[in-house]
Amino acid sequence: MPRFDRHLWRLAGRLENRIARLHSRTVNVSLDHQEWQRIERLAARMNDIADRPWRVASDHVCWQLLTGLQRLRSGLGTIFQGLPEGGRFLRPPKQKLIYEELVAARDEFDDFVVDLRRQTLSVMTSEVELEGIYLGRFRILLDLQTLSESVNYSVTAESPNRAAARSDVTHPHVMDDRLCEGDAKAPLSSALRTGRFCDFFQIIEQTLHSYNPDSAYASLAEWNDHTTCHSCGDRIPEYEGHYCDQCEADTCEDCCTSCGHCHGSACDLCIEKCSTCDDGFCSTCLEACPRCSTSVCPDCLTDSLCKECHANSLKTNTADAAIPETGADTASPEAPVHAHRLGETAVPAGSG
Amino acid sequence: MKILYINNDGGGFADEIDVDAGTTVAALFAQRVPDSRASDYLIRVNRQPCSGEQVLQDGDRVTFTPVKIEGA
Repeated sequence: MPRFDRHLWRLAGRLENRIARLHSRTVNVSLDHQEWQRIERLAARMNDIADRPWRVASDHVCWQLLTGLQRLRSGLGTIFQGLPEGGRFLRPPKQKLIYEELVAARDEFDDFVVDLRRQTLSVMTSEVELEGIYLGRFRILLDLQTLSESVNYSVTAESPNRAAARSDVTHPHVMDDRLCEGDAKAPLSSALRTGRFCDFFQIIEQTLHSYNPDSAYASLAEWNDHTTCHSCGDRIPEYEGHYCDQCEADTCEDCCTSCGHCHGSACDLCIEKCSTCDDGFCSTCLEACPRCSTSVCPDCLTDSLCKECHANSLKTNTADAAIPETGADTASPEAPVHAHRLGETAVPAGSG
Repeated sequence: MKILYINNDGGGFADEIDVDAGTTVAALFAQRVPDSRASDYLIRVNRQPCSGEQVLQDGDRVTFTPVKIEGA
């Protein structure tokens, strides 16, 4: 005999009251009498012109009659849905039954968690794999305060394997942690209204283990159509990938740039900065300064030198140009005194 | 005898029904879901897995949940 869980018993008591509020026996019957009278008039008019050769008028009245009947049928359908199947209102579940359901959910599923503070109930599904695509486990979290609302639970992937083309899709039928219920909608609603929490989680799990290719947010056939960025390692959809002209690898948009000279596409790893202007260039366009070996772009080269080396070479050339050559006219008596020869002065011959 | 029969297929059904004494789970399935295979359903009696030969008792809770439920 399973051990009595008083926390679950207390929760079951609270849920008994909340679920009872879902069981309303009021029915809103609101028929459009004017619409019905209009249909009666249209039907009479159709009968009047049935034997006459007024084809256009007959078609027009027939169309009006069909449209009116569709509106009435929609209104009747709404009333029909508000009544219980079989004509008998279901009795709301008692605390004991709800407690047994909670215990069953605790024993059936892994990682059964009751958060009394947040008023949530959650379970972890088994691993989901569809047509060879591993999607992992999902946490189903039910908000016990919003049982009456149409969206009162979330389905979150434990280790998301997102669709290549849709980062918000973690399962073909789950987008933004919301399950598109499809065939599960009616049984899920029925399970909650009758306090069958174990069935509720089981129905969602079975839906996660099923694949409807005709109505999926992302198809399994294209689920893994992605590549990996050579630079940062992120997964990217194939159609969003960029190509590096240098290393011929795939790259994401963030890691893709272009050479400032040839404008070719390159990844972050294949772009270097010019030591002078600091812009990015591919290895083909950068050149090494023959003097200092730094990488320089074509626009920053002057006479094949980088800016700094070129400036230095100018200074050196200027200095060389101002110094005369050794052994030249200075030996001649008429040679002028060189003003830069320190400590020397012209001494006329014969002076003493 | 009366059992609680729950079918989580389609619109869902959950109500007490009358069954003959000695009815097995397999027999009930054939009566209630005649056009389907039992292997396409999770079948539980009193929230526990069961065999098709299990004989139903008065007050039992029987649940049929489709293995394949298509989302949209």
